[in-house]
Amino acid sequence: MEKTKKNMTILEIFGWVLTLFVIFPVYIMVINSFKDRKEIFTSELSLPKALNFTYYIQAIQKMDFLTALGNSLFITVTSVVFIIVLSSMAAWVLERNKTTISNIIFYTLVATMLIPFQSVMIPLVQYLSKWQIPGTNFSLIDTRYGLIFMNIGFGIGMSTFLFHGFIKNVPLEMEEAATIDGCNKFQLFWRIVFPNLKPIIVTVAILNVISFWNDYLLPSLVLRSPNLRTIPLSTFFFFGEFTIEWNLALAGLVLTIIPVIVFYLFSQKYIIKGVMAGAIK
Amino acid sequence: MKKNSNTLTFWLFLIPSLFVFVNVVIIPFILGIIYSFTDWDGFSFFGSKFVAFSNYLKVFKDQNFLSAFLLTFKYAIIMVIISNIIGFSLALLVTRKMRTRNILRSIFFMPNLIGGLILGFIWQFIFTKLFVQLGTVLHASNIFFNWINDPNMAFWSIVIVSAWQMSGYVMIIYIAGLESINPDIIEASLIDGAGPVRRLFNIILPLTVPSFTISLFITLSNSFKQYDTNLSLTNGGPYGTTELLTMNIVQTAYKHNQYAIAQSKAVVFFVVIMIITLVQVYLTKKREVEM
Amino acid sequence: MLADGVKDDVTVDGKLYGLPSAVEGYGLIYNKNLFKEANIDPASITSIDALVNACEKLSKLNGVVKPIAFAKETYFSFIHPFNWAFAVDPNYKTDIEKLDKGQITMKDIPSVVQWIKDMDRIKPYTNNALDSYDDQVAGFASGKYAMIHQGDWVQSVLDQDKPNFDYGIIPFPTGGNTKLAVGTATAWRVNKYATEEQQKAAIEFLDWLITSDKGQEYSADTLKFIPAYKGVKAPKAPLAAEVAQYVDKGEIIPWVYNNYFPNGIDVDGSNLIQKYYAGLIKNDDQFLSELTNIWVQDAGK
Repeated sequence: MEKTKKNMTILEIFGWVLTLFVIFPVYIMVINSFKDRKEIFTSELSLPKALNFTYYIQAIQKMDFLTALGNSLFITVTSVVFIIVLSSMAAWVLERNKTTISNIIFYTLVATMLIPFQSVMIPLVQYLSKWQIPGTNFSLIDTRYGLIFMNIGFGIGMSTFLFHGFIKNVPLEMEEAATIDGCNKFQLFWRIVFPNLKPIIVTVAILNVISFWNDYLLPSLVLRSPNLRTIPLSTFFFFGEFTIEWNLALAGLVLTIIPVIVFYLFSQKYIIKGVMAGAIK
Repeated sequence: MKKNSNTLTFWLFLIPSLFVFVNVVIIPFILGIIYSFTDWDGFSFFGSKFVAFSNYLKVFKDQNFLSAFLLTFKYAIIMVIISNIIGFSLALLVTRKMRTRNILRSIFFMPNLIGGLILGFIWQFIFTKLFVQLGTVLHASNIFFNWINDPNMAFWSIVIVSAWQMSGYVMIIYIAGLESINPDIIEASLIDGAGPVRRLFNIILPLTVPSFTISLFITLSNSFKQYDTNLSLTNGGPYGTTELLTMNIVQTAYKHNQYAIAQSKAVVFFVVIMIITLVQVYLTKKREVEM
Repeated sequence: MLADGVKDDVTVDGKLYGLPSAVEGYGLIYNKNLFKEANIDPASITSIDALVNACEKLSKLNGVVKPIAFAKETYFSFIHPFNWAFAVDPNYKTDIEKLDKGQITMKDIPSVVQWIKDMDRIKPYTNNALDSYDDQVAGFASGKYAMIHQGDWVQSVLDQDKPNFDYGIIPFPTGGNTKLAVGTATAWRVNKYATEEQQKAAIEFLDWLITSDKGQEYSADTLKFIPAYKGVKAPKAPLAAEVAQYVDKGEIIPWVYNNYFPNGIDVDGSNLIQKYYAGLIKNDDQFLSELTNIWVQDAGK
């Protein structure tokens, strides 16, 4: 027993040594973000001489960080809410009505999860740019709702699949009892079924949040105006426009990962569980 | 009457999803295949001519595309091996009864939340600046130099960064697999006196084959689709030697404005990724059954 | 009034489509102190021979790692340097037209052939375009590089490096060239979708900015714009002031790439020139034929 305990401690220390590979780049980024150009170019390893926040302020202005943060939050949250509502509804009727047509729809949804984004992106942008309503400014290109619309389209296959698998294991009795009590289908879904989906809702939400928040390629094709840029986009343009001025760039990078770390600190338990649940399905 | 209202709800619940899905995925996918057989200019399809397979012939003669293709293969194979070995080992480590195992899991998983584009920029600093300094300080400039300027090391730098990210993800999948193993089986093997190596190969590995199916699938398809880190870390350089498939397609379309050819490349990409992942899933599934 | 060489950027078929707000110029930004130390008169660098001579002297100085540095980004490694080849060619429009159609190759354009020959001469004295823009400018500020191939836009970065020497800018003397490459980065355009009143107000504002004393002062001192017009007040920053002198004297040649280079040539050309620096191109013939290939491919779709 003594020996296993000792072995466990050694393993634990080994585990912590491994975390250095994760922590070290972040550490390097943070310490250098406080240095001025001269300091960065002479020594990347030393601690900064002073906690100098000027580059943070400059980076916030030049990246238009707060706008980008707002855009990212709005786009991610709205897309995910829509996905949860739409795909849970779809999954429920697909699961509870086993007909040929529902099977065809379900398997099409699942099969298209294999289509890589790259193979539809070029026609997608061209096709949706044709959606215009005369006399209005409506456009799916270069608008936040346009990107949300596309996010939903790309997330719905996997999300419906996850809900479908979960609903399969929810017993029918409650739904039957509610129907006898005179619930119509909408009431039945929103009052009885939906509240019972909580665990899978968390999973779907987390998987989609991670992918939308970090997505670069789709937003880069859809959003053109600088004031609509999401965080990955504004980071990319920030690096491009000034080519890389590392002192500013590092401060900008630290800024971009702060929201992620905060989110992670509050919800890491759910994230790990959510990813686990999503992967097993 | 009941039947009718059922059908009505069925469609009412389904149509919003289907509407978005069909317009975002299905129609562009079909259009994409059609466009790849025409001389479409990227804007109006009206007036494009049918050109049969001539785009595809050009695609297979395009040296840059072929080398991007080969490089992506090489990259995917290396990534699948490395990230699964690391991910599985990490999972073995953090499923042991340690006090801090949950914190360890969280830390190993963290790079996944940061996103490939931003990770690429962070590591660019490490490879281009820190490495140069380490080279001088440690008098080891044959190991530590600007990796991004060297075609070979620039490739490996993409591998390192994405393996660093992907391993945490597959670790989670393996943890799920390992935790679902019935403890009694492990217990029994301990009583039988099986050593740790035998336990790993005869009991743990066979019981986690389903996790391997998923992890291999995810690492394989994600590696084929790699773009963000490629863009932010090396941007395809030096002189185009680290350009992966997606970057080649994006460049063809949006840099060179050769939309029809880019779309043909995208179709080829789809077919290849489809074949490879289906073969992989088929093979590992077969193994699951045999076990 | 509109300085020669910038007209092309804002006109289409001879019609003016915008008022250039400011011009930028690039060439070789050089360290005046190092030049003095090596006893080189910057005004004497009017040929590649003179440049090579200067490089030879500069490379012997203490602390100088390479006399000339290019940055590795696509525009800095290829577009800007290669622009010289066409900018010094009086027939660049027709030459490029023929090139696009595949009627001639790069080898048929004397200024292009001369340019690659000149590059061959200076290549040993360069950093092989391996530095990022950031590193290139920092290297110049620290005295590692005596010259960098850059434009006056480096001022803001250079200021942060606080170099302890004076610096100026000279043209790249390919084929004996003595003119600076100057173009417009941005232009004022009146939005035709705006209301009539807004358009009128915008035109009045531009008129004020360019012709009135107050406007010129604002443009030069606050916006730090180098005027695109002759006889207009120039900003005080050292590089901008020197560029403005070239503009005033009319010693400028255009940024041909703004309107005449095919899409995608920045990436393809930069890949090619990096191969060239890495020693993967055997000779000028190979360079020029590969350049012709990518050019025609990018132009032809």
